Order: sequence, then structure tokens, then C-alpha cells
Amino acid sequence: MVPYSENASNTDDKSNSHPPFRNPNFEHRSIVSSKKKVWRGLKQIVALERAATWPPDAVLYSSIDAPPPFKPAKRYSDISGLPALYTDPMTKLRYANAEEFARIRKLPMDIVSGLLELRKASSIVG
Amino acid sequence: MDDLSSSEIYQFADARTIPDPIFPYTENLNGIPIVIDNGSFQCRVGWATQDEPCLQFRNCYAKHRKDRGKKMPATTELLVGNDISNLEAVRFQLKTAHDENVVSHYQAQELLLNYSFSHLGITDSSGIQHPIVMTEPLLNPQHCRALMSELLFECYNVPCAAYCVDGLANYYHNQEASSSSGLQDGLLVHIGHHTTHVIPILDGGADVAKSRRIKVGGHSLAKFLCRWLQLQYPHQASNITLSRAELAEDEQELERLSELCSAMSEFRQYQPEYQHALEEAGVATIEDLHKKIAAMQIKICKTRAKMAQEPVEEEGRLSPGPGGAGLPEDAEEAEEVLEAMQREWTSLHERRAARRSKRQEMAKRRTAASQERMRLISQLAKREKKDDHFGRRDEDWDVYKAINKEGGGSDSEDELERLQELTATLRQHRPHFLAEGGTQPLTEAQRNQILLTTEMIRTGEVLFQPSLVGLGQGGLADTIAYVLGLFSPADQQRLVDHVVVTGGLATMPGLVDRVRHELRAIRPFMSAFSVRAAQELIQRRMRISVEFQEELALWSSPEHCSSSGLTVQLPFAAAPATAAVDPAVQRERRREAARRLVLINARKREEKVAVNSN
Repeated sequence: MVPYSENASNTDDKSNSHPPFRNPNFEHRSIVSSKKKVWRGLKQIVALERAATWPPDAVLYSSIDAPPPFKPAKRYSDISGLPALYTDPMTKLRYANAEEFARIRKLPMDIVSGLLELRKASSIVG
Repeated sequence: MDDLSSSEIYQFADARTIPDPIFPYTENLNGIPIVIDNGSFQCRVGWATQDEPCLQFRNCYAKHRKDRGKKMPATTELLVGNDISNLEAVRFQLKTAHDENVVSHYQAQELLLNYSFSHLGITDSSGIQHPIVMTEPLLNPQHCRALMSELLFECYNVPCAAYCVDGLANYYHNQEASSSSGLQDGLLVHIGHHTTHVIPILDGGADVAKSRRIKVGGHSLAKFLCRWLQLQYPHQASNITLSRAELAEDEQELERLSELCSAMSEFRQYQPEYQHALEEAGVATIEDLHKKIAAMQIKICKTRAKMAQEPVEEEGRLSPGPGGAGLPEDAEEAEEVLEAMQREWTSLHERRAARRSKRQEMAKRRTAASQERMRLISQLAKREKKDDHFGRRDEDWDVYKAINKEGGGSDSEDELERLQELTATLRQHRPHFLAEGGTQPLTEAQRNQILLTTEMIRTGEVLFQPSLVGLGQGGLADTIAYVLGLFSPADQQRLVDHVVVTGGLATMPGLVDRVRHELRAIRPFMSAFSVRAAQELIQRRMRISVEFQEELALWSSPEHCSSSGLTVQLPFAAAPATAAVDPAVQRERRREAARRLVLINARKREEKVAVNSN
């Protein structure tokens, strides 16, 4: 199924008239018609780059990722943005005072999960 | 909070794009390098001799299939960059060549380059006879650079190409004139659309090994703000009792806020407030956040048609109500009616509150309510075993209401309607009562406003505290401290003497002050340092190319390359551009790979055996 649509999009590309300055015979080296996914994503590219053999002092894209913070992260209320001292054990949302707590308990599920997703805390593991 | 002066209310400004014109190609442009700043947010293209880029567009395109689903051959319309007048309309068809800050989709890149070159007026059938200067991310993976070179050399037949890191190019151009040779010592903070780089520059070059990259940028900020506002104002839609189409419109309106372009313009709009807030955030501690919730509202701009529609509908809802039109003339009688309405309103509210608390109780186990429910259910189950008279009496059916988890609310919709009617009438005649009751009367305009409080500070904070968006990396200040820690104290001083902030977000008001504040916290007591934002951020980058031009001219001649002892080996340049890989070669390659895999597996097995035996 997928290769078919892939082909379709390829023919589409060709039907769009190429500008004159483009080499009419040029085809991307990476494109193999049988392959489903042609272009690698950044993660794949970086993993590939890391897997190759390099001299020991080589600096790669993946080697300049910033380190984790050295200070504990500050906690802010999920509904007002104020510094939060408390966490609701039921929804796992953070809140700053009693009013906010009352509001949190009234929030529908989708908003709660959306707020947790915002700080990537919605996974059960975390 | 309610009486905000109109100066603090901002209209949503929609970013309107104007399609790019096709620039005429003149003779004197012969051999002049083309400069392409290929950023993940915006692409800027121009001639090296110009001060400002002629093209500047969102680096994305949308393929718009006009007659989808029909049997006839679909005609696709390709919209690139500024051709897209409304970005939200094609949000799901939007494609970009970038994955974060790296170009990964080269077919898309080709389309974008086609667009750029044709809009520069090039119609030469022999290819692009101009050197290309293109920006790339710091430490662009080899794979990506190879594919980009392949595209440039083989597809467009360019004579030569040079890559430069965008932030460094800007830094180079912005350094003080006194040290024109090489790069001045300093620390570059480049805030891009997807990533932020901290690059130390010493002894005339960037120390790449000691640079660090954080995965936050303008995009993270905009996304954060957008999603946050969406979650804060879900009722934005339900409050407005209009058609659902408008509901979608409203949401779009919100989302458009997140659109970086408008987000950026907004930052600029509330410049004084924002600066104030950021400064305070920088200088004061968190407790001060409480004090300075500067209220600000953004009014969602509505088309006039909708505004006209709104009052009509409002009236339509009011008039059949018992209040509004049907209120008795006699003052005393009216008072009585109002009194009754007030009572009804209160009782309705109480009932709703009771139901809500019941629902909450039901949700939990071991509360009296849920135990009562279980008891009823078990009773029902018991009764059904004997001869069954259940349902003969109407009261029997009430039991289902009692065991309904939702707290038995089949009539709550009617109630809600009634409540709304009452609220509307009471709002007219007894505004103070409602205010006491907790709900504030809102005007139509106020309902469509978004109140910005801590968001103004929080959004910018994402750069300094990536934990706000759940990213496990250190913020800008942490990373600067870390990078500085990699150097000796003397070198650290050389770095902080010249800190330059570049990138699109460097224009954010208060950002430089904030960086300055953080640096003061990092550096030893009473030590000196300087922070500044790069001048004329975006456009100036083009000028770098002028300085490159002479060198490029040299490089375009093969003689120079061989004389300087450099041979450039491009893996793909040897093969003819169109040659498909020979099947025999392919088979051989596959076999080779399999052989290698066998070897690796054997080695691993040996290692495992060795470990086990130990």
C-alpha cells in the first residue's frame, strides 16, 4: 500500500515542471523505489554518526548536548504558574494554594492530562 | 483586574504574508555568490552584494491537493513559504526539510531551493552558475552535509559551495572592528528556533568541543505558550454560544498566537510590560512573582460579521425567558419576581454543587456515597430473583438515578438552561447579587479576552528552566556555567569579557538583562564582564558573504585547490549523477555486509564466553 502512494507522490514531483536550472537527470542517491521510508530522521542520523569509527578526539553532533541541570528543578503550579509547594496525589498536578486545589479537582480529565503532558509528566513511569 | 485600561488590551495580529515577487536577473550579477541562510524557521536568500536578503520566507511548504477523493488525476498545488497566506489552514499538510535544526529531508530541501533560485530570477539551463554560501548547524552530521553537497553540486551544478554556522557568521560580522583578523575572543549564545548553542571562542576560532547545545528555542517557547493558553481557556469556546465552526475558529485564533511570527511580534508589542516583568524576574526572588501579576489581556479579534451575529443570538435567547421582556411593569411585583428568581437561582446552584460533590464522592471508594450505591445495587440484584414487580411503580425507576455514577443528572441539561436564563436576567437587574454569588458578569468582549498573568514571565523562563517543558537538560544559565567551567580562570575572563547573544530570540525584550543577571551570579564577586545582543540581528548575516566573496572566487578555480594542496574527495562526485547502482554491485555489497555481521556476532560470542568463564 505504502509504496504505491510513494510512487504516486514521486510521479507528482515529476509532473510539476522542473525549473530550467535543475539537472533534469538528477535523482537523490538515497531514493530507492522499493524502500518505504527514504529520509532518515535526526535521531537515526545521529545514531549512525555515533556508530561509525572516529578518531578519539572527534567532536560529533551528539557530543555537544548540554548536561542535565545541577540544581533541582523549581516547581511551579500547573494552573497558575506560581511557585508550587504541593502536589495533588490524585491528579499529580502541582498547586500553590487551597483555591487552586479546589480548581484542580474540578478540572476535566483531558485538561489534567494536557497539563501533565505540557511538562512531559504524563507517563506512568515518571 | 476588570477595569483594565484599553492600552493593556492587545488585538490579535494575524501574520499576513505577501507572496514573493520574482526578482529580475541582471547581467552584473554574473558570478556573484548566492547566500542562503537555511534556518529551520526562516529561510533568507540573497545576493552577496546586497545588504539585505531579497527573499525571506518561512522555511516550509504545503502541497495542496485540490480535488482529493475524486477519480480524475489530482492536481497538486505547491505552496512555498510566503505563498501560504494562512498557515493554519494548511497546518497538517505543512512540510519542512528540517528535523530540529538539521536538514534531513532533501526532497523537501530541493523544492525549497527551486523556489529560492527561481525567485532570484535564474533561468539558466546550465545550472546555477554562482557560488553558494549556505548556513548549517554547528557540527552538522557528515551524512547531512554530504547529501546537501550532493544536492547542490549534482542537482544544481553549482561551481562551488561554502558552509558556515549561522551564529558564528553573525558573531564574526558583529565583532568590534578593532580585531578584524579572525574571531575575537568571546562567548556566543545563539538562540535558534529549535536549539540554543553556547559556543566559546578563543584564539581566533570556536572551541567546538567545549560548546554545548540545549534543545530549546523559539519553537519550544511558542508551543508552550500556545498549549498552555489552550488548556487555560477551554471554556473560551463553550462560553460563546455560537456555532461550532466558530469554536474551531477560536481555537485556531489561540493557536495562531503560538505561531512564532505572531508570538515574536507580540513580545515586541508588550515590550514595556514584558521587559518590566523579566527584569523583576531577574532581580527579585520567586516570592515577588506573587506581587507582580501584571494583568494583561489579549482580545481575540473577530470579524465584523461574527460580531453582528452575536447580539442577535443573544437576544434570541433572552426574550423567551421569563425575565427580560416579560418582567412586570409594577415595581413591587417585579421585585417579587426577582426575589423568586434569586431563590430559584440559589437553589439550582446548591443542587448543582451538591451533585458535583456527590459525583466526586462516587468516584472514590469507601465513601458513604459509594457504599450506599453498592448497597442499592446489591438490593436490586436480590429483588430480581423473586417474583418481579419492579418497575410497576414509577418510584422504582428512581433507583437508577440513585445508582448512576454521574449523580443522576438526566434533567441537569434543562436545569442548566434554566440556570443560564436566570443568570442572564439577574445579570440585567441584580448585578451585585451575581457578583456575590461568585460568578462575575462578563461582557461579550471580556469573554473573548485572554488574561495573561504569569505567562509573560513563564514563557521566557523556558529558556532558563527547560524543566518547565519536561526537558532534562540544564537551562541557559546552567549551560553557560558548565561551559565556563571547562576553562581555566584566565580563559574564563577572556570569554565573559565579550558575551554576544544572537539568533531570532535575542530581540526578546529583557533577555540580555536576564543573561547579565545570571552571569553575575556565576562569576566571582566584583569581576567584570559584558553582555550584548548582536546588532541588526537577522539582516546583517547576509553581509558576511561579502567578506567571503574574494576567497570564494579563489576556491572556484581548480588550480587554487590543487596549489593549496587540498584535494576534496566527495564520495558521490565520482559516480555519474544518474547512475543507478548496478545489481551485481548491490549484491556484492549486501554479501559484504552479511559477512561483517557474522564476524561481529562471532566476536561478541567470544566475548561473552570469555566473560562467563571468568
